[in-house]
Amino acid sequence: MIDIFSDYESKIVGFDELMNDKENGLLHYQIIIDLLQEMSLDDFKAMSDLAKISFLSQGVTYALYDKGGQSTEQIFPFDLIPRIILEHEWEQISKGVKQRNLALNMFMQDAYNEGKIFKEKIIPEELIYTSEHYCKQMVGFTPKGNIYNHISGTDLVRHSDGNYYVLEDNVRNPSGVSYVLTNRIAMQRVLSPLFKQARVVPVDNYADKLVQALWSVSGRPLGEIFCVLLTPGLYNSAYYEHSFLAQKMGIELVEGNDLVVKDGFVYMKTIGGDIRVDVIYRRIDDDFLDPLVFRKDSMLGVPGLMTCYLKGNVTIVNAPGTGISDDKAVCSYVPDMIKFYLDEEAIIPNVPTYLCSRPKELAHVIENLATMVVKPVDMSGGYGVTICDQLSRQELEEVRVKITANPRKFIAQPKIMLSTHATYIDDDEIFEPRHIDLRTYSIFGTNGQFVLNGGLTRTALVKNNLIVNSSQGGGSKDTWVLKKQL
Amino acid sequence: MLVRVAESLYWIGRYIERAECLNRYLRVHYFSTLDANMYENKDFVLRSILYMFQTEWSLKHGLSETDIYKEVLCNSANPLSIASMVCATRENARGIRNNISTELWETINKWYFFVKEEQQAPFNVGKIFPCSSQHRTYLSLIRSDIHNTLLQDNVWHFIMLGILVERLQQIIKMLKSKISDYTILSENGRNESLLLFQYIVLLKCVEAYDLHTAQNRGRMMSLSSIFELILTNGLFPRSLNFIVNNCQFHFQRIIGKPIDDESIEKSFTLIIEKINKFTRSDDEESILKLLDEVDEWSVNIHTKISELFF
Repeated sequence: MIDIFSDYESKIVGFDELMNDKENGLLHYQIIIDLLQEMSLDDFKAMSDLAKISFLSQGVTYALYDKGGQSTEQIFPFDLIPRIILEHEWEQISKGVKQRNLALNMFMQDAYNEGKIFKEKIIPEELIYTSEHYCKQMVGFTPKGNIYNHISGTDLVRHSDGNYYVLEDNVRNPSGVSYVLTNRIAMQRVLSPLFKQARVVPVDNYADKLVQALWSVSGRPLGEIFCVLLTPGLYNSAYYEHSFLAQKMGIELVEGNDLVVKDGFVYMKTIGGDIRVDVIYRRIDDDFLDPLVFRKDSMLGVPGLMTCYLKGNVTIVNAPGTGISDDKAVCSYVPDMIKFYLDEEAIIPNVPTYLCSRPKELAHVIENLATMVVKPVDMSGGYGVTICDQLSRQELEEVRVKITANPRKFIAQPKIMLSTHATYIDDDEIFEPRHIDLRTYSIFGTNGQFVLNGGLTRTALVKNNLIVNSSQGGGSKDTWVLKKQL
Repeated sequence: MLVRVAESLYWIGRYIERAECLNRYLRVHYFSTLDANMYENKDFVLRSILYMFQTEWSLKHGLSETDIYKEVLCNSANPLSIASMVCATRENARGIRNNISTELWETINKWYFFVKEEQQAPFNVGKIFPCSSQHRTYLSLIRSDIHNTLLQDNVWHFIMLGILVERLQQIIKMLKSKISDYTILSENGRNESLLLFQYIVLLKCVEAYDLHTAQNRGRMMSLSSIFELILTNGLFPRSLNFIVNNCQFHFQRIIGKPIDDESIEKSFTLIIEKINKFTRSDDEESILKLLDEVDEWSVNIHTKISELFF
């Protein structure tokens, strides 16, 4: 018999999802607690192993890079205890994410065209021009359907006060959605009785919604649309996801060399001749898209692609240049964008963010550096994040020097205590609280917005670690949005 | 179909067939050395395995029997080993994951993880049978997935074409190897039963021993009955006749119509005719001449496939 709460409470720091539920009478996690109580630890380990084997045989792996740049194929660590979000909480999150996506899309349209938001001094213009992801080729151009951020991943955390906050937006190539879908498959295989008791909303409609969104921005009649997913290739850390999504959508997975530009159009090279491509869901960064426009040494892109795009002969999803919204400094302005474009208050607040490019805020950051989390504005995957209260005095000084030398490159946030969740720790064979976050996945087409139910709960596997990214050794959980009981 | 996808499918076919042939050859030969007569000729058997492994005997001379079996089965640093074939199959399958069925992908992937696990464990000759049997099981599952979980469209045709081209080359190599073994043993004046044993081994290598016995009930085993089966019997899936005919079938299906290029159509007709009309199954020299011609044809057809489709 497993007693998950044995010695659990004493290890909690901050807000714990399970304990919060327990304090409220354990309404939602009860079926999981009951199930665990019926089984031995060996039974649980056997189930956990079964789930791992399921991931391994499916090839659900990612590449983990060491400091020397070498990669090894890893199974994404998976924890069997699901995270539960109640339907009314989810509705609010979903609304907030859609609101955010809409405002960000309006911002990009504005930033690359009229620039009203700059003229009104809501956002300093130089913040955009100095962004590494600013794409001057997009100035004066509007993509089909007027949509830039077709696919977004919004990272949310739940703070000690129990409220959700936005940590950052990912509007270039958010990854991880395949794990949401395969996590659910693994859970249903291993813990099917639970699904009979709980009313868990499904997640398997993501690929259908995505391909419909791709069709919606093709500008071509249904039945004639040809979409492809452009991958950097099988050595990319997210390759599994690329092939998974292409298969689920029923579209071709292509590499740069599979495409060719002729007479202003993009074609896919096939054994029966060339086929015109209408929509490219690219999973490579702007820099590598077209060696004639961006990095000359790119072997991953398609020479001439941008010319076709700017002529309106092909749609690129997400649009080039969306990275300006990925910039963590810009992220701090999203509530202002929401107010400016939609005349609404942000449904989900941001984690307070200090822009080091602003002298006053820089001074505050430097003064309180030991309590801050410092992040580079243009990196993702948890890379470059510095949690200052874990540093020695000398290391702290090094961070200070780095920030003051190039303040535009950094933002700082007060240390947010991500909520914790019961997680099984393989090595110690116990259940312990571990920090988690939530990445939501949204799709934006001319046919409307869609937010995938639940999203990906990422969990840090190391005690007290606040970085949950898979690239930093984190794992994941299935996220259940529970329907209201009838 | 993408050019890259077609090429990967073709090579998946080639690698699985190559792994299967080598695995079978190794297993049959290893067990042949358990017989007292052959045990005395252990080096001779190892030389034969290395021939199939495309490695000169002189390069590996001095290595123990265990080292050689380990090299052939498990050394993924050697691109000719079975482990390398498995990795290459998986690499190709991964690159076109969305074009093949989940079932086929998962079986290939499990095969790969089996190899990785085997490489972690210490090797001894006692592992040859279980390891080789596992390879056989995975390969059977892969074949079953190829035939039952894919549409019989170009995806299937390209894999089959790869399998057949590789099979042709491997069968020719096995035949040549055994003819060479037979000749060497004859020249050294070995006894008749040892000589005949070479052809029993050959039949086992193409998994036709039982089949041949059933077909020739009540008759003495002869060179001509063995070679008739492997060269010209159009119903035996590992005969040259069957393989070339089926290559033509898949080739035509990919093109979608009878082959336009007259020279290719003609080349198929000529080689099929040549095999069908072959009657000198009791004459080693004639057999070797035919094998050389079919071997050259197989190289040409591979080149033609690459030129036309990749």
